Amino acid sequence: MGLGLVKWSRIKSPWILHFNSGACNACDIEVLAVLTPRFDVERFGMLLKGSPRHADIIVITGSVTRQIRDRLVRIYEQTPEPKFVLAVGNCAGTGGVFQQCYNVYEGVDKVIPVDVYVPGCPPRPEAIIHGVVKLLQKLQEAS
Amino acid sequence: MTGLEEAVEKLKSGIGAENVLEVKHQPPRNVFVLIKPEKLKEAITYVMKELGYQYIITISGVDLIKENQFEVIYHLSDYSNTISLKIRIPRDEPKVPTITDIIPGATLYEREVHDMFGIVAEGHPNLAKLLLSDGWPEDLHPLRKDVTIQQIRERLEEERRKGVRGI
Repeated sequence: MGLGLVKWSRIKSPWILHFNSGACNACDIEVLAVLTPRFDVERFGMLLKGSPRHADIIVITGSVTRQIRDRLVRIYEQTPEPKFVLAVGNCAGTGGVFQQCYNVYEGVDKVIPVDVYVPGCPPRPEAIIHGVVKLLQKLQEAS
Repeated sequence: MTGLEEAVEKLKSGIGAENVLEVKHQPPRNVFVLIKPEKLKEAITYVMKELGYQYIITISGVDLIKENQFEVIYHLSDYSNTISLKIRIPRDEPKVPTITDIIPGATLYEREVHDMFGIVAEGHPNLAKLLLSDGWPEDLHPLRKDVTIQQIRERLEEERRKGVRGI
């Protein structure tokens, strides 16, 4: 759109969707801590949304179990373009301790494309904020 | 000390000493008793009713592939001690009698053992899939020792290519 208004507003206020694809809840607690006033990711305009149709960024925790794979793909497809994926935690990155298990896909990138990985088990909220800022830079560069 | 020796002696007299094949104490609070499979329900009834044990912790399975057997272990507890009743069944015909008529809460554990090892609890009210994902093939049992993780993955990929979803 003219003057880059859409891009500007997206960078100023990217809405996120939090999706647990089989995490143990440790990463989820850290993601929620990031959203609370103590770490306050809302200073970047980020709001947690309940629907993938409202989201720009999907924050995924967990190592994508076989049961949830198709649901994750569906959530991803419901998110409007341009969409970005933040994989939080070792499990979402590589499968973590669930590598070589019969019931997981060993990471989000086996199923859908990932933009930023945040390692850690669980990652500290500062690390998640760092990943989020990296993602904002990526948004800035993307035309 | 904890009364487990006494409990095992009572169990022996209750179901017959010739039906108790092996007793392994694991102090301070556990004992593993290998019994004959046909005496399983009798032994569980005895432990629950006569010895006053209240609940079942879980049912676990062991794949003894070298002996061509499955071991099924019923862990019974009285909130302080644990008596684990073990039975061994042939691997080619993995069937155990259900114990849901004695302990209704065992239904989920029997379903789990069925998922993981393919051990059928005969007489179970609903032996549907419990833990494995929706599209998981019925004849693939992940904790059996004769399949490797690579074989499981190849099989699931093949099923996916066939159009099965939920794996």
